Amino acid sequence: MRDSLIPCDAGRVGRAAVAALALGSPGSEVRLPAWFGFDAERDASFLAAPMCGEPRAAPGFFLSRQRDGRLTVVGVDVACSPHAYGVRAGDVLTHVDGRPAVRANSQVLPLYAAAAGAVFRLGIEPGGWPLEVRLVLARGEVPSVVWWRLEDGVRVVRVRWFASSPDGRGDTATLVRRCGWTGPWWCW
Amino acid sequence: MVVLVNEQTISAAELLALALVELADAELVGASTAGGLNEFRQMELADGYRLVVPFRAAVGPRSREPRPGHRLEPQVRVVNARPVELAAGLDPQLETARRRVLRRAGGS
Repeated sequence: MRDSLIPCDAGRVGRAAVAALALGSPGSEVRLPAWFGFDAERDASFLAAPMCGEPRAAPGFFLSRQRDGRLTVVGVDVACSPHAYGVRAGDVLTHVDGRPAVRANSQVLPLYAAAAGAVFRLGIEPGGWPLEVRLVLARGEVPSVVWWRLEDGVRVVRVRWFASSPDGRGDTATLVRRCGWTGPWWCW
Repeated sequence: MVVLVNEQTISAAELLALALVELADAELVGASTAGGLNEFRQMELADGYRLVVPFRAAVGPRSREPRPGHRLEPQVRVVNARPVELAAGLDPQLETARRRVLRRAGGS
């Protein structure tokens, strides 16, 4: 057991982590892949998705919860596959793989934890009309930080997730600093 | 500075928002955050694995106090946009945040 203080079974640790996630998100469908337990770096990448929100592939849209518990698509990345499949802001997400989408965390986690190539059936209601979209996740180059300027000069910085990396393109703090901190702005 | 938060704001995002409130006089706009203001303890396991366990409430960098429910409550509460608003390109939270930023920048 190199570099270890406590002997462990990686599979048991992984199952405990997924069980802990399920406690916070009843109905979570995140499951350990068959390859889990043989490569710490790959396993960390898998668990990072549900733990810190950094997607393995790019779900490509954001959700918010309505007062009645429904999930609504807030924004869609044009560069990501959901946009190509017709998902748009304002669509109500009703089902994920046939299961009702009633809790944001439990239903969205699989979308973030799945790798590129994974297929989901999304039930959406654009304008109140039910529609099923077959979504194939694709690896998208989505930065953790984006920023833009509104017409009246207000600067908007959106931080999607937090990550540290020696490569500035993957380091959230570096990306935020590049946005600049002067002038009126708000952070999302 | 205005920080827009809602129920999707969780963990590190809540910590950042809390720090900006206490250290940079930021104003929170939106809805209550998820409730993940915790500190974590890491334990080294075998073969490069680590076990991360929440073990106590996170406190503000200046107040040194935990927040009720381990979550942040916005000073300006704005409900999430409705589907019809989003479909029309409207975002009441964004619009409120924009107005608050301009108001604070103008000193009014």
